[in-house]
Amino acid sequence: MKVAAYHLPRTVSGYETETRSVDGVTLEVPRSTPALLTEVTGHLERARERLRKRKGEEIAEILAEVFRRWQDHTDLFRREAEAALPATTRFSPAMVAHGLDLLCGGYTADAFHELLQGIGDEEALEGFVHLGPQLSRAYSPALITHVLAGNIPGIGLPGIIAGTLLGSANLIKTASAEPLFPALWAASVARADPEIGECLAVLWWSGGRTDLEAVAFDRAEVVIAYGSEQTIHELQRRVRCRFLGHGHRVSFGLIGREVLSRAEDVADRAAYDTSLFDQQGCLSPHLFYVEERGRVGPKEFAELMGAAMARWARQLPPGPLTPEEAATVRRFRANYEAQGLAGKEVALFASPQGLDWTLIYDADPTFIPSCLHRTVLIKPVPDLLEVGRLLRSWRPYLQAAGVAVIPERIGMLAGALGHAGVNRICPIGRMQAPPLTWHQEGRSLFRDLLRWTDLEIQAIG
Amino acid sequence: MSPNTQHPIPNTKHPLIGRVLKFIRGTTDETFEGLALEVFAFQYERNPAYRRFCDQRGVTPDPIVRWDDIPAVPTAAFKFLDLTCAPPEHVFLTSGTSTRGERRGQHGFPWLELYHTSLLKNFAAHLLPDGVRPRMLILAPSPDLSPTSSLSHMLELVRETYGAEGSAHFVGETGMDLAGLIRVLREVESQQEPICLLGSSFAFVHFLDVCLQEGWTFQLPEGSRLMDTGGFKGRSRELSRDELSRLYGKILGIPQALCINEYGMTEMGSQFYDNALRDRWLGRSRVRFKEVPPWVRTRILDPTTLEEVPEGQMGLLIHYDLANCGSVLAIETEDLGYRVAEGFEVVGRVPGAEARGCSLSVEELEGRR
Repeated sequence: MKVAAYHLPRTVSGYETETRSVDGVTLEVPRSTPALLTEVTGHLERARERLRKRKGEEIAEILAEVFRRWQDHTDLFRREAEAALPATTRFSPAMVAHGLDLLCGGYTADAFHELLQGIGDEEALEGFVHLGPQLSRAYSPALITHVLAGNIPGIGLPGIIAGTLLGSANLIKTASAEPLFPALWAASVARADPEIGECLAVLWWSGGRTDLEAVAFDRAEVVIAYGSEQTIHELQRRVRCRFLGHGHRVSFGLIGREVLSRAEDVADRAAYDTSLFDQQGCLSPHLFYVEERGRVGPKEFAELMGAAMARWARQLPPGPLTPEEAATVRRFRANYEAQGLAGKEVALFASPQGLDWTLIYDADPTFIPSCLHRTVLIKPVPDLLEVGRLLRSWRPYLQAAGVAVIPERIGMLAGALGHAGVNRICPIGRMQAPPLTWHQEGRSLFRDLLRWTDLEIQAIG
Repeated sequence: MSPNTQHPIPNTKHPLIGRVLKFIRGTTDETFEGLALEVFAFQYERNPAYRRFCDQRGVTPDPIVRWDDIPAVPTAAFKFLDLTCAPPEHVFLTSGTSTRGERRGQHGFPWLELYHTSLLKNFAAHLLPDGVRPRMLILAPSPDLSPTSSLSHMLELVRETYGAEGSAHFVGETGMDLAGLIRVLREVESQQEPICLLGSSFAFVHFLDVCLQEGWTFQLPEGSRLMDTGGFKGRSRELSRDELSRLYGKILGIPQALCINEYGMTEMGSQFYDNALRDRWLGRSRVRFKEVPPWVRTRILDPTTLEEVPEGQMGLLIHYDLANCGSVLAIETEDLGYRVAEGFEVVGRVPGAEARGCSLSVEELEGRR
């Protein structure tokens, strides 16, 4: 099948396209040149002058309708995404379908409304308003450039949505592993509201093309980028405007002794969070700390979770592994198998054939990231509050903590986790479905996009 | 290695060792499979850690009838277990730093004679098929400096056995003795006898980079040859095989067929060499590959399913090495490779796959923290 893996304002024409094939899917993309990017950014900036006059609430209604249609499995865009994404992302078809439902289900009118409330005084976008002792006015960026990475559909979407709600134009550079969803989504927005569609451009080029990125970065007022620490550092050096980098992050879970009275249910939800997107997300848990002295001990919990991992591997089958990935998982398993044979308190629970899932019980509570691909560690702790100490050297990388504890304990635990650097504390089973209002990387999406001008009363004279 | 109390069997030579030695020397009618199965039974009995490993996998020598059913131990296990059948005469450590409190991999040889016999026979066959006894210039530390390095041990044994007068090491306590090496290379330029340069790939890259910078080239005597080994491990810039061969030709004047890459590991008593030099001597013309000596078998398995991969497809290398009679015969490496002609080509040690999504992976961290 052939799919257009790009979206351009209708007013842009006269470009050549090229194709690249991934596993039976042919992706068509414009041949990106500095001239094309100059033209595209010019169109975007002009188109956004119309969009900025519209109310955020009105745009929100339209976007909500777009996402509602995405949940209709018979919708054209949805069908195209389901057909092509397994090849580009290497997720199984069941995972792609489930992932799209989860993603689109979260983008409701209510969610957008809550996000808009984060601006505070929306009037500040239209003129100077009293904010404390001075008058202040907020300006949305004319153009935001997004550099996406990785294979998870919908990565970077919150930033694109926030930009759109603010009336900014968005230039989106997609990732090699997932060039499709942003393009289809932008086309679906254009179908619903051509004026918004004119403010979106989705292109792909191979990362590191400094000639193209010079244009994409110089014309933008904000650059939002995803990628490895190294990529982020390299991009940051080349960006002169505001740069919001999202490096790779690590998430984990905590399970209190009291909730182990319903250990099967907790194990099932923990296994779901781990299995989703084959553990490739920054919200995917690498390990779970399980408190000792519950109805079920940590090792027994590991066994239960192993059974749950097997169930999820049937329901949402894992995607195929490359030889390098498979060898990495095998090495991770071999390390723990050998530790067990050497007499350490380690147990390996794993899919009997193949490498569908790997669960390791390790009595050593040291925080250790996993090799991913549904590989998860279970570690016992006498008291969950001790975890803060174990997280110390991981502070710059911490993302979410999934928790399953009784309500009486959440306050103290949340305090300790927040102090340790965790930016999201959420229930286990919901780790991969963050609200739009989440302070990703501990920051506020809207505030980071806006530029403020203060007018001091004395200047008015 | 921990005290030898774990090994109640004394380190006397068992008759099986003698038979394996004969097999390596090629002076017996026994088959690889017959010997491999006996070696497996021997190891199951005398190597407690390996027995626990086999029991965990539910495999015992009794029902096994094929050599490829022998359970292969992942190289990672050498970091945690003492996998020897008797008190070792010598213990080698894997290179690299230990991470997260793990120790470095350890391979103890109770009968070094096995290792030495395999090593010398295979080295001579692939580096010295013409019977030349060259002056050896070694770009690696001597065993005095690096007593636990299997590479140092190997190169020293080769030098002692086959090296002409004037053979020497050019890596000392303070690093590479570039001046000394250049002096000897200039000296041999006017001589007739071929020389042999041996060492780690990254040491060669350092040397080549200096030559490139200074514009030095050498006209080595005809028949001079070279053996490099190992990856770059972040200790030099990374060069492709083609680029490296080109530089060997440009700077040292050694033609490609006389540049031999060795693939070996601390966990194995036997090594693999490119067939190129030996083929040239024998007048054969085949593509370049790593030749598997008759006392070794190499399988290439899909790392997900552990089934044999189709020809040309990449898989995990598993070696069955009779020279490992004193530890474990079957080794599951972390190396990917593919079958070529009668041997294989190795792609490299799995560096740790890059994360596909936005999660941090342990591999990214190990490179960065």
